[in-house]
Amino acid sequence: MQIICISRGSQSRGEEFAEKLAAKLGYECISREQLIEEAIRQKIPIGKLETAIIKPHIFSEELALELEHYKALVTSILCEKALKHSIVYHGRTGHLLLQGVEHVFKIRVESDMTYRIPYVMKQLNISEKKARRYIEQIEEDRRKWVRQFYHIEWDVFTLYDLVLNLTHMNVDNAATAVCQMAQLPEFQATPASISKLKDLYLASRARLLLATHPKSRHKHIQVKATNGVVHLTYLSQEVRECSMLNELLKGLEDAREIICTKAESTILWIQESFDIDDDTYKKVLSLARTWNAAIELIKVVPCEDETLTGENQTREPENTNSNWQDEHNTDDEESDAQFPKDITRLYEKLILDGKAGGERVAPCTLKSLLNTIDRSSNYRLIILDKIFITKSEAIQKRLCQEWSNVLSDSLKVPVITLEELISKYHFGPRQAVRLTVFALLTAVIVFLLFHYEDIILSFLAKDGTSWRILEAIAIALFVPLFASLYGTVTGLFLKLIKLD
Amino acid sequence: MEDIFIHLTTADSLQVILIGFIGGVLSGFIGSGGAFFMTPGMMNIGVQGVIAVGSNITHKFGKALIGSRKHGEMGHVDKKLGIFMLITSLVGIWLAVLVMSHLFGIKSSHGDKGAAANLYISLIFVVVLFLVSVSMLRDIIRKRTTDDTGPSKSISEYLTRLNLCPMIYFPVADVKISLWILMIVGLATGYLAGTIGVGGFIGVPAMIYVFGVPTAVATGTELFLAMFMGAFGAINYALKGFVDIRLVALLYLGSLLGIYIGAYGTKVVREKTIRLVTGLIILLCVISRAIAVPIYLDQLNIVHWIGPSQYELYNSISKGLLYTSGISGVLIILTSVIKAYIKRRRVQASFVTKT
Amino acid sequence: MSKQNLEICVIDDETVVCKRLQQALTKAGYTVETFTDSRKAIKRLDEKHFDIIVTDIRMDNIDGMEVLSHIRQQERNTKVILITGYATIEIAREAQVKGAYDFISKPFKPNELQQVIERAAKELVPHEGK
Repeated sequence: MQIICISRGSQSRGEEFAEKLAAKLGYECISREQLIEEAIRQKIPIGKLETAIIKPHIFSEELALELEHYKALVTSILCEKALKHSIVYHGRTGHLLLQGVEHVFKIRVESDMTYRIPYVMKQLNISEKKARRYIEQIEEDRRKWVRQFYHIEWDVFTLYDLVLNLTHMNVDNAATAVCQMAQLPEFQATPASISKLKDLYLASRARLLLATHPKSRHKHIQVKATNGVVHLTYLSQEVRECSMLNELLKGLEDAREIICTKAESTILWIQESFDIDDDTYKKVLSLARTWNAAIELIKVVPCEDETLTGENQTREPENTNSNWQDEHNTDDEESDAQFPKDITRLYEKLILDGKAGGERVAPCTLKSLLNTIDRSSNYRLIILDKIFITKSEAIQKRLCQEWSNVLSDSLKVPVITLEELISKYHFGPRQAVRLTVFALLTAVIVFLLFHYEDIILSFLAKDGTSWRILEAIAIALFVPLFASLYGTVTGLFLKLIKLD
Repeated sequence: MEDIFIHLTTADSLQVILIGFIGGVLSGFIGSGGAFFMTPGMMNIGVQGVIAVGSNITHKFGKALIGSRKHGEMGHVDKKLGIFMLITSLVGIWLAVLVMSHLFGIKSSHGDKGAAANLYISLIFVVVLFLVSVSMLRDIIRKRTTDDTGPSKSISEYLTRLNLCPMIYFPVADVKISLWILMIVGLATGYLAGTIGVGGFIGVPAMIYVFGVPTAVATGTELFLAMFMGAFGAINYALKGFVDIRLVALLYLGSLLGIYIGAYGTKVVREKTIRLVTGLIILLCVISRAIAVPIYLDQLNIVHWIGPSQYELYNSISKGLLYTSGISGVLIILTSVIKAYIKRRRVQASFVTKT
Repeated sequence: MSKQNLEICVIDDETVVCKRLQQALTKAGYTVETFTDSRKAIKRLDEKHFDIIVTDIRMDNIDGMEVLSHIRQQERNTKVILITGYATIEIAREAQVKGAYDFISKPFKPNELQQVIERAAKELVPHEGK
């Protein structure tokens, strides 16, 4: 069973190529248009989703749910077919829908403008200038579609196994050549990739069930499946009763188990690399348990280019010559679309620990990180650490500080590093010692205060300007000292009984 | 002058800690100072009003200090507005302390000092907090019927139209405010903070309704103000010798623990309940203080509604009412907190079903 | 240009949509004509000037895109607003290059359309003879 996903550049003969290839290999050819038709039949407002790219201001929370619904539908159709027989899919983002399935053969088909412009001119009966503008705009829109909906840069060639330029190539010949390549062992299904595909299929069906049922339609529920176990994460204000979800998913075939994680808030954990054996994991987890929070992971993919590290973000120029909102983005970011192993492994552990709140990968610019973060989530804390690990420590610290300022400003959530996390939220032996010492000190002060009551009071009541000033100074010094001393005691004590 | 500090028995000390705890829970819950409970509470024990206010302000200063260090949540501060408000409010505090120490010097019919100050504090307390609680409760009733359309802008728009020169522009809050209005509000906030220790109750609504500042900026700016106002008030009262450091320490023992529990309470209690509980508690505190007013009136030979023999009775009624309101408020919050705490333990384990 | 002077033509093969838009727009003070048959609409468009045309894209006979081309060929001062439930980026951009004023995807609320119409009305150059 083979899966070939073709990402078409606009008007680049990608469709023709896909059909030829499918015919030669004897596979089923599926187009994005077919999937769209199906989505429309299922009453998903595709038009709204598509125009949300052109008119960004209309993208609402409701639409975000529709997007989930759409993704689930498309994924389930593709998985269903791919599990039965070999397929060739052509569209914008097929390979992104089947993320994590290793044997997908990912091809990008492009053509030169010299081919595309005359083609569009003829097709739409428009002038050359308009045709160029049309192509450029569509390219831009698709790029935005992929960035906004999949958080990935679209025209990065490392996303694909093969990039074809059909300007000077006969489509038929190109298809023949690719047939040969499709026989390579890398693109054949393995038991592991099949099981991944099955999981994707299972998760997408679960998502669909939830998206179509009136009771769960408007709820933000994250769905993930691993080895036949469906895992649902939701915030407690979204869904009150877990049993309702179980009821809804009763008819789900091939699901071995359904695990629900109900969280009151989310801790967002952003790092460049995650280490599963790390002690920090336990500490973050224990904090999540105290708060009854889910943990969401974002892996920042390191990038080579110095200029993209966040300090020179320029605002995108806005095209105001028409009422159609256009944004031109000239960034050329590189990113790795594959889900890296470290985050996936950690996430699977989180699922087992019942605290999984989502996993994402973001390119390492501040802007794309901000785009990646789901603002509708109820974040309580952001842990930002271990970014730019290849750079020197001083730069690391500075950039980390810069990012954390921007993040806390834009999301209004406290941002801390792992070290601060441990000192602030973790109760270990060090904290126990501190608690005892500070409590003793407080007790001593209170004892002294009352033991030498008379002396202190007569000092406080003494008249005379110089005495008064002395008194004021004494109080101004004593009060903050006592407050911070005892404040630390109470803070640590409440941490000890996990009421913070 | 040593008699201005009362003798503290063990029972009194424990009461002060309890007052601190209740005040702390309430202040954490409401997100504003708990002075409205702590000042009358201490006065009921027999602490001179001036000392109660002075100690309270000192206490507030330390609390604001660790509070700001803890959260660092001052993202919404309009520094420019904060500084303008601060300067005028400091003048207000200074005036308040001046008036207070003058009143404290007036001797009553029995030769006691402080009755005039007590009366004055009580009256201001009753009037201001009555208005605050009534407007809070009215807000809840009104919210039930109409949609929340945000704070009314009519007053601020009217004042902007008046255009009393010089107008100053504040960038973070994005409003233009006349210097004169700013001075009046700042002065009033400082004066009340200095007199009864509740500046936030006046400052925040004034910034929202009179200046037209967004709510988030108003509360943030108030936090910023509270710290400096507390410090300035504390030093001023200390300079006059009106701070009882024992009381401050005892208040801390209760309040710092309470404040966390109160803050936790806001997460588990519904918004409307929070407002309702707050409004009712403040109203009860007001009534309790009002009951004590005849005592001071009698002491000052103004009106003889009651004689010295009834002082005890009136004081206990006032005290009883205050404690009832405070303790029941705290109990409501505590039960919610404990319930949530136990429930959290229970749901902690993930729900697993085999299919 | 006041609302009363604005003439709007609504073309949609669904009678329900036509009726609803007629009601909403008339109530808002516009002069509205509706057509469920796009061929009839084209005929009427040749006879009479409309300031704004609101048309569905997917229709039998002549589709919305053709209506748009037809209007643009005549270089008239008319704003065309397209509506469709099956919008894709490609269709939207095609409409744009072909000179549509704006694009609304179904399902939409009447006031969403009204906002677009109001915006279009502001940009309309007063028509000769009015």
